[in-house]
Amino acid sequence: MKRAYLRPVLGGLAAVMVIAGGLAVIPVTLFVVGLYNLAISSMEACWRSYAERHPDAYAELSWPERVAPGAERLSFTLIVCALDEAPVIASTLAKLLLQSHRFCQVIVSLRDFDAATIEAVRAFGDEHPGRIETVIGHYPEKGKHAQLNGALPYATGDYVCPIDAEGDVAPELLVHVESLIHQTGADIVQGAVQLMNLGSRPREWFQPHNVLEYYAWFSSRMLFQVDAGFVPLGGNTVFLRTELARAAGGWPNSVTEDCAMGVLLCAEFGAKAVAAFDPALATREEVPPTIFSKPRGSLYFQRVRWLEGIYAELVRGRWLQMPTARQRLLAGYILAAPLMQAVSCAMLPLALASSVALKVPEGLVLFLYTPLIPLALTMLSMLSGLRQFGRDYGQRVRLWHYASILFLTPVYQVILAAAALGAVYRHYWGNGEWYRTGRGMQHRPGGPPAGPAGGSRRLAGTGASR
Amino acid sequence: MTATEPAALAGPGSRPGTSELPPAPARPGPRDAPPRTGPGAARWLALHQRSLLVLFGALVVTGAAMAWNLQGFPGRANDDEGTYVARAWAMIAQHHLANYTYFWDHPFLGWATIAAWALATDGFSRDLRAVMAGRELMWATTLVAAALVYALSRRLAMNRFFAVTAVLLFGLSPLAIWYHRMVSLDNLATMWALAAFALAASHRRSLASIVWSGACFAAATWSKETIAIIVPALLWQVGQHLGGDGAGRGYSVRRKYIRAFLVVYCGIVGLYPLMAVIKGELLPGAGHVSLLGEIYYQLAGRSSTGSLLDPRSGTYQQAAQWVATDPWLTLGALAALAAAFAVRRYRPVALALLVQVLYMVKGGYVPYAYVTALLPFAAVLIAGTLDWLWSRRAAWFRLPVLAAAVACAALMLPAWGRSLVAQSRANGFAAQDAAVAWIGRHLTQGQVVVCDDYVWPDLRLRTRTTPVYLWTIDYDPAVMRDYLPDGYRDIRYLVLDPSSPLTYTALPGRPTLAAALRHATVIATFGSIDVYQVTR
Repeated sequence: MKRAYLRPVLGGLAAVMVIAGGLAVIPVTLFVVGLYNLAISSMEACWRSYAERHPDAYAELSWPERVAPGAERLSFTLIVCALDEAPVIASTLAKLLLQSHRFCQVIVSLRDFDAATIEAVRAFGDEHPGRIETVIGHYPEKGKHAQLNGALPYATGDYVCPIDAEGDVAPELLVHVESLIHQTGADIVQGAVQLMNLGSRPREWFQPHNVLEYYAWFSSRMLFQVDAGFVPLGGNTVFLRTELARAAGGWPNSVTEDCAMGVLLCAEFGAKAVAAFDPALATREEVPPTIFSKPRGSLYFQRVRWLEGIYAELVRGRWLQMPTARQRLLAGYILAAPLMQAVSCAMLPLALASSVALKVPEGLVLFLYTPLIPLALTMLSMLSGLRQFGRDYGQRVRLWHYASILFLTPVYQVILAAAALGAVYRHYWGNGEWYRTGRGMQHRPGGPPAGPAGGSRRLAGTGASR
Repeated sequence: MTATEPAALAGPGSRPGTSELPPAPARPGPRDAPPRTGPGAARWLALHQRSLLVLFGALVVTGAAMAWNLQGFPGRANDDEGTYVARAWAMIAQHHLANYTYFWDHPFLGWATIAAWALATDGFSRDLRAVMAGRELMWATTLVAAALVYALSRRLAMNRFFAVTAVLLFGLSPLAIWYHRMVSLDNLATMWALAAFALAASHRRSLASIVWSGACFAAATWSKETIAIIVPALLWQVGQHLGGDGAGRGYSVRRKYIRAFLVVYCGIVGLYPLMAVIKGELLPGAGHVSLLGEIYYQLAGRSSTGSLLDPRSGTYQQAAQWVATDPWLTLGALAALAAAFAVRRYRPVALALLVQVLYMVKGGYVPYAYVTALLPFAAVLIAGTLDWLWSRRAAWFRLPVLAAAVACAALMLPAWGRSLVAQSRANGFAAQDAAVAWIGRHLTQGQVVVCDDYVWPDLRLRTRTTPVYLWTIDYDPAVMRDYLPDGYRDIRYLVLDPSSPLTYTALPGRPTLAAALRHATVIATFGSIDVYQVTR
């Protein structure tokens, strides 16, 4: 326990010393701060425009033509992890069965105490005999990774893909994924996920921001990460070579097992990741309805969990095993970005204020303002991204959505920065509980119902269990 | 229900049988060192070997021609040279933007660059004359600009021969030699503008090159604000080079790139008015200088030098002087300008030249070194037009072009050579150097000496006197307060050249100076420079 406190305490001492030293040499400190802000905002502008870095770059992100019907040679396993999903699971599974790929195994991975969902899946299996398989296990750890790993031994496909219980996967996705794999020989394929609701009420002002984050992430940043050879994966629409997933020992135990898996495979197994983006093939999801309300679905707490997972990867240091210095640098940046952004979010107004309040040389004052230029580029890219999102996904973008982006971005950034700090706090002092976004309405039963401890039961093709 | 082997239970949806996975590299396990994709620098060198060789040759020739008597010619023609050097010195020695009150006449990147050069090369203590530190930088600037002329020419699809022709026209024309050697902000601004054009014409057509182009042009504007009038030409260059829409995006990538260009350009240039705001000197007001007040003066208050079309105007006289110095480059460029608009890829550069010529036609204040920013575009257009004519393959067309070009070169090169040799014998600073040496020997600590800006930095650096720039008298309240509280009586000496515009244009409207001259007697004469002593 003592050791766990040592690092933050030392870090705090170091920070105090840096600040104290900094006050002694204000211009030098301000210069360093300005340089830092400029670097962070420039990197942001860089990755945001990465898919447009030359006129033909965008084409690199498009999916290839689908494989012809009947010509499929690979097989896929879709693992649906469900917990307290009884109301929605049937419709999710029904959608999955629409996949046009001919070799597609669907495994539903459940926890043994989740009687309602087990019943719902059984009912669905009865209606569709032989189409789905079910793995029910008792897992001591919380988190999705346990369910994924429980199902992994039963995957027969060449590639596995985790599916969220509420995910809305495009039926043509697999045939495109196969064709991309043939084209690139990829071990990992990351498709796009897109949040859809821009919001229509004032208290939903943050929704266009969240939508745009996803849009920029999958239409630009993913390409940046792929070229860096380092891809912390998204939670779904990810396809992993099954053999590789098994060699890696399954998904790591992490609050964000997806990100950790991506880091593990890229850094330690040299996996080749590719990404593709097409609005028609993107998995569609919803923005959390509130910022802070845990039971109704909270953007903030969802973000704290993600960033905690990313921060854990940063301090674990797997990324240091990337082969070249440049890749290590990029990987470090990719993982540290949310935290660095949070620091910059505090530093920028501070620097601008002190440039007015303190007596510093004119040149330095101007330099402190230079980060605003890449920030303006970022804003420009966000505004045109919003317009492009509307066109790509057939959504009506209203004037106030643009206004929200233009004027409320600082507020949104403050929320993200707070989440980043919250994530660091939780990493050291948190209880390790993980918050599931917007799915907390149904409460778990008082205790796990009786079942075989530690083992996993499998209903192979629920039809057969009758 | 018992657990069963997964394969045996594969449902109808899963594919039984053999694996047809695409070949996977050996794994799991830590990967081997990845293959390094071709080292950039070596590839670049190999690709541009021949270009680098011919460019190197051209740069040696232009560099040698420009350096030949850089210190002695041109002489004391325009003391802006000294002004910028003095301000650079003030940046280093006094940590101020200028040696006198900075009144927002030009952004300060230009003399900050001179200061950086002087600091890096120890220019102020090494050289005989302070202005030389600036001239050395101009020499380096011109070489960089010449290389950029080559790059731009190549990117506009000219062959190596004509690209080198452009470099030689740019570097060897007597008109160019005159203005390139003199310390001016325009030389620096032109170099940055050429970099912006070369980047805008980059083959990679990347967003980065457009953004850097905007940054370079912002540096040009920060060096000399007047260069901003060619921004439409640069935008045209960006837009034309990007061509049509990006594949698959359904909207114009070009528009996005141009927007990014404008954000970067306006953002960096915008730091200048921002600085005025921070210093509280944006708006005119009592007791301080202001950016808007200065802009108003430059645009409306300053007397116009007239239109190029009016033969009695100052602008016309200036242009006539340029043509007299080098008819080949100036008139050749006018001819090429018309032809260049016929070739699509030359049009933006032609516009850059045309805009600047039209500004002279419109009439306004045409600064002394205005022609500097016209020279590279003139050179590129002439060479480009020749390249275009030459590329018409038919022999009946080529032969007359060749004959005409050879004839022109045969007339032009000896004329240029003669003027270069003649210039090499001049020492335009002999009188000044003698005057400064005399003052150093005879005048004592802290005596106020009124002088022009060629002399100012030398007096400041090499004598113990307190030089006062004659243009600041009765103009800068800080000078009147600090150095001349008793008016002309505080002036002990004047170092003037009554026959030169450096002196006589400053006299009207300066009662303190006039009073000092009324009470002054000449005590020493060096060439056309007189040293006056003021009797109280």
